[in-house]
Amino acid sequence: MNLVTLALRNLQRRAARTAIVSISVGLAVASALSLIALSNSVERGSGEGMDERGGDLVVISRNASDIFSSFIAEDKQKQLAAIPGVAEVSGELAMFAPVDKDQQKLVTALSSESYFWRRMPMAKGRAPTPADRRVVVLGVDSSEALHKNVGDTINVYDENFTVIGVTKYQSAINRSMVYMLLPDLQEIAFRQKQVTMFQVKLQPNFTPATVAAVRAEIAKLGSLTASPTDQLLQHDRNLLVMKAISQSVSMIALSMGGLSVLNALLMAVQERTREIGIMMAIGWSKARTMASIVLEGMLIGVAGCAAGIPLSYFICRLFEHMPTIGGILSFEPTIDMILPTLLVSVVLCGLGALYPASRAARMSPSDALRRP
Amino acid sequence: MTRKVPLIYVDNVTRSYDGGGVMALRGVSLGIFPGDCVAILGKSGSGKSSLIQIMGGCDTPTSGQVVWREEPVRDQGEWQKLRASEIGIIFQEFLLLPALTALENVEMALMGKGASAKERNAHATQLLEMVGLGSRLRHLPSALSGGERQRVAIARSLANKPALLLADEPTGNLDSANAEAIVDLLLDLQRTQGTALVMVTHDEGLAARCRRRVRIKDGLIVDDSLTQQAPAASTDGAPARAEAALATAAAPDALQPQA
Repeated sequence: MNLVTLALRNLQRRAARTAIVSISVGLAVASALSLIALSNSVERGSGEGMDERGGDLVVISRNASDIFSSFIAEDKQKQLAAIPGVAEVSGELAMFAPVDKDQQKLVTALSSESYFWRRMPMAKGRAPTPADRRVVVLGVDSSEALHKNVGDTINVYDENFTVIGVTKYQSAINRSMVYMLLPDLQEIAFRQKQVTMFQVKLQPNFTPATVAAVRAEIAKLGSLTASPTDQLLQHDRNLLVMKAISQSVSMIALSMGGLSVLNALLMAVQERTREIGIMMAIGWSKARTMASIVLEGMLIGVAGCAAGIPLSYFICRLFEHMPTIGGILSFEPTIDMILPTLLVSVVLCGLGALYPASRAARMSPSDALRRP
Repeated sequence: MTRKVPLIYVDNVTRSYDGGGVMALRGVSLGIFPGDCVAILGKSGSGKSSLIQIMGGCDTPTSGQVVWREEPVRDQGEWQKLRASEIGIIFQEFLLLPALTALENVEMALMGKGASAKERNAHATQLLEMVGLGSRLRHLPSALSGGERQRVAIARSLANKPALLLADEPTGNLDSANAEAIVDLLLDLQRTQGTALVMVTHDEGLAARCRRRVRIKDGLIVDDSLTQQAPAASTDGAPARAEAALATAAAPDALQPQA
């Protein structure tokens, strides 16, 4: 027998209470993980989407608080293309737009010469040509959600567009996108000669030094900033706020889990006062007595995580069915989210057990043994 | 001749409760020597349980001190170390942990002493076999009789090979046959292991089986004598020490006021 066995036995003795507290910790862990997955999915999803489309750098307005508030003059494209090390540049206008009246879709518009059209993997139909007007290519999820296929018509900002192709991108954000030609979206959204960002493709075999040099040149062009695709949203203010809220709510949820452990163990210590007196009477030190109780709290934390992690996957599946966000992002708790949450949860449960443990250790053996 | 040093010496100890309203002990001094076998007798409320609690460090005296091998015991930390290594305690209510088997209850007392789990298991098994419970190792306390539970408690108290075994009414919750068997076991262990045994009881018959009898009344020792049945001379010379203790309240030299 060891301390872990003793802690497990004590938890087993009050199986119903242990289960209830573990479930409450599990719910806290699931809430925390789901919220973190939600905030991370925005950043991860955007990065994955841009990587899949093959850009190396993304250029946005330096002062834009988020990607959709970036406005850049379309004619900056020529200056960007002239920077040594740059292979291709594609201007993009991106926004959420009402599609078929009641669905908000992420619409991205590219010029007909954009290298993205050439790289776009098509499941059906074709990419637009310079001669096309009022045509769209749908991501496969948009095609399914809108029940539209090649040859059908969709309505964007009260203008009709013909579906000429369906892409087979893999990332959630690209699968949910509606692609159209730049002049069309500029016209219907009253954003003439403007783009949201430029995607920059560097010369093959570029080095970190090349990236740094190109970024420095771009910075010289005025109020522009260039970021690698995986860092694009690192300074996005909306995302930072969302992350801060998610983390705060997660900590509150986990702290509530810790409090429920404190409450349960406080009751357990009250009920087991006499047993604690026995431990002391047979020579257990305060530290060992405390350790046995703190261990109980940490084991509840582990049990809570065991319940909470699968539950968080289930909650994330529910997110994916939410119309407002489910079609755009994919939510999945990853190991880099699970490990810190698990650690914080177990530590908080241990901390929750610390107060009951210290109360137990402060008792004199005779006082403890006198209790009924 | 070698000076006899008490194992434990209770030095002018008082213990009051309820802010001094109840005086359980009123200046008690008592020395216990290695190998002693002492029965503490008294009616309910006489202070005998308070005395044994203080001797085990489970309770703190209101005034006075307890001296272990000529060194005053200062705080709970020191008492904890003594209980872990030198003092074993047996309670009237057995006080076993209900969720643990007999074997695990004994193993509990061996934890934190540097022994491996395997060594702890082997030692605990040996102790339970010694008290006649070799076939009841895996039983929970609820599945054991009162006598068996007390045997588990005895095995647990012996886990640290104590120099002093304190038994607070160890037969109080047992029928006469079991009580007799438990006292036989304790006296046998005291004789074979050389452990000093201090047993609180209100049973004159059981007390008569100990070499020395200490009677407490209203918080004071009113009698400290050798029993009639005690052997005239024992191999360890305990009776002679008891007489000396009676005559002088057993105050060791180290505690006498210096001239």
